[in-house]
Amino acid sequence: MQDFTPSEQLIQFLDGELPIEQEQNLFDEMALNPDLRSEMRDGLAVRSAIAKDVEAFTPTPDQTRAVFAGLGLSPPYAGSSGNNRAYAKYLSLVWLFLGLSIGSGLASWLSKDSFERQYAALKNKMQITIDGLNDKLNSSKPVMSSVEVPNKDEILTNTKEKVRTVIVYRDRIVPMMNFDDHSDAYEMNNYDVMAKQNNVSESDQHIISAAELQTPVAFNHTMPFNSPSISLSNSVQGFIGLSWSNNVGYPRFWTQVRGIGTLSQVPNISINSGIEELSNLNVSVGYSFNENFAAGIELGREPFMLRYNGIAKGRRTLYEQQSSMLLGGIVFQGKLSPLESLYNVQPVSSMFLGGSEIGPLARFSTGLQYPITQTITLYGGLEYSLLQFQFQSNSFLTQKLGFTYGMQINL
Amino acid sequence: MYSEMSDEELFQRMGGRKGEAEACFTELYARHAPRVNAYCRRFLGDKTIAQDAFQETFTRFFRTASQERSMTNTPAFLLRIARNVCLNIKRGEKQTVEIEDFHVPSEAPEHEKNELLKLITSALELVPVDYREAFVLREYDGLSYQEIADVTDSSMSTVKIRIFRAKEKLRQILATYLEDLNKV
Repeated sequence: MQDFTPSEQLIQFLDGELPIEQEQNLFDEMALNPDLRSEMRDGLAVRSAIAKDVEAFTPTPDQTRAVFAGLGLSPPYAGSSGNNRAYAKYLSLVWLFLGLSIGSGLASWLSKDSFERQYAALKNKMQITIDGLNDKLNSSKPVMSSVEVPNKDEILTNTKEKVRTVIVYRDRIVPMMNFDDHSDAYEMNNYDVMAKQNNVSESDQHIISAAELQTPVAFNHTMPFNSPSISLSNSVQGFIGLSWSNNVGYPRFWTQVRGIGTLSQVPNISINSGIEELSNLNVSVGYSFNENFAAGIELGREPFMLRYNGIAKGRRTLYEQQSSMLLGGIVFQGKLSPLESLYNVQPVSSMFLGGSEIGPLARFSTGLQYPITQTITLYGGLEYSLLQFQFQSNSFLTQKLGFTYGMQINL
Repeated sequence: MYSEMSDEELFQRMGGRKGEAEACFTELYARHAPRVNAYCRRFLGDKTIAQDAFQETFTRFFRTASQERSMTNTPAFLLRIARNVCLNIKRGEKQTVEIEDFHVPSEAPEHEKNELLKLITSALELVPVDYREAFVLREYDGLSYQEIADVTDSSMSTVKIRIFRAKEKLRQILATYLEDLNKV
């Protein structure tokens, strides 16, 4: 048997190659030898640093493209070429733009249509009233021969002048479920990201750096299964907003800003770093067509729990991360008439359709509005979000369910 | 479907019809490209040369599949191809870096923000090729001493010595930094 120095034994031990019968000798030596302990710390530091050598472990899309092109094969994923990768980068912006465009276009179209219908209805109602009066008076000379309602442009001008301001405050409580099994993920390092390899022990968990995981978009692998997961966060997220209304009894134009106040929040990493402090901010602008229906556009930045599978360093890996991302799209809001038997409580539902930086997003909420006064309304309800995203050519879903409550002030 | 198959089965099917061969190769590429890339990148040092070696490795691997029908250890086989490619490249270049020339690149790429990692990758260039190779196979590719011996056609004792020397050398180069790190 070869005689190894304590340093060499330590190297073998760290590499898992030291025979068990020699381990005790090494431990005894380490107990007495501070230099050896220092060597162990150095060895672990080097190993830890190497594990974060993303560049070495990750072939670039250009490399992959070159390999496959050289063999006359098609690259295995959309993001294989530099151009495609750039396309993927802008895809999120396309989602945002599409959502906002559709929202504003639809709102514009619906507003015109709604106004035309309201104008026709008003004109018709007035004509019926005049006819009725004429019949009652049975006069040879009619009270009025035709409807005399203001022209449409006049009504629009007056409506705009009568717009009032409304301040809205809402909070959102979203209970946490997803990371309960791995709560230590947030304690293990600063990246707030954990990758747990399948088929390995818990102690052999591999921590992937934030740089590796910040953007879960396709880069190089095909897997046959989708892995939907339910992600619920325990953050209590603030909601403060402003909206404008006119004298028709409901907010005609409204805008909302939410997410300014945050009572607590789970740690998250951003898809794009730089504006962490705005990680839970939503702004929406909309138009109420009548007392029961409103539509608008919403733009914001909000965290979502992401759980997905992929291949890292040649091994199948489960990733979990919470990332805040830009989102935008159209929002529709429907209200039933106030329930007079129930203190004028008004059932409200809304639907958001749009996109985020990593994929399409849909959100549904339903609740009740309770008018305390003419200017103050309380709101409470449930909110459900569904986000679809891709990683290594596979599609994943994440869901978020929470309770929302708030207050609206009409000035 | 292909992700459920073993390396051996995929390699076997790579010799089949084109569509299936392509799918199998894609799967094997996804599984083993990271470690092949790590080997080429850290063994050769130069990024562009490493990329060429990486491409050549997988090209040879794909072509081998049409000639051979069985494969027992695909990662080792790939690393052996990568090693041959890298050694050929090494033979064609001159070793000119001296210990006195050791310096850290002033403009580190984005991914190398970790200072220690930056130092390690630079210091690796100063470690003799044989030692560096054993170190990379051990630390980057996670091979056991026996697997390294198989890939490099060396004895176990040679592998051990190379790994010891590589780590010793690295520790010497990084001594000052590691000392400071321990003080923190």
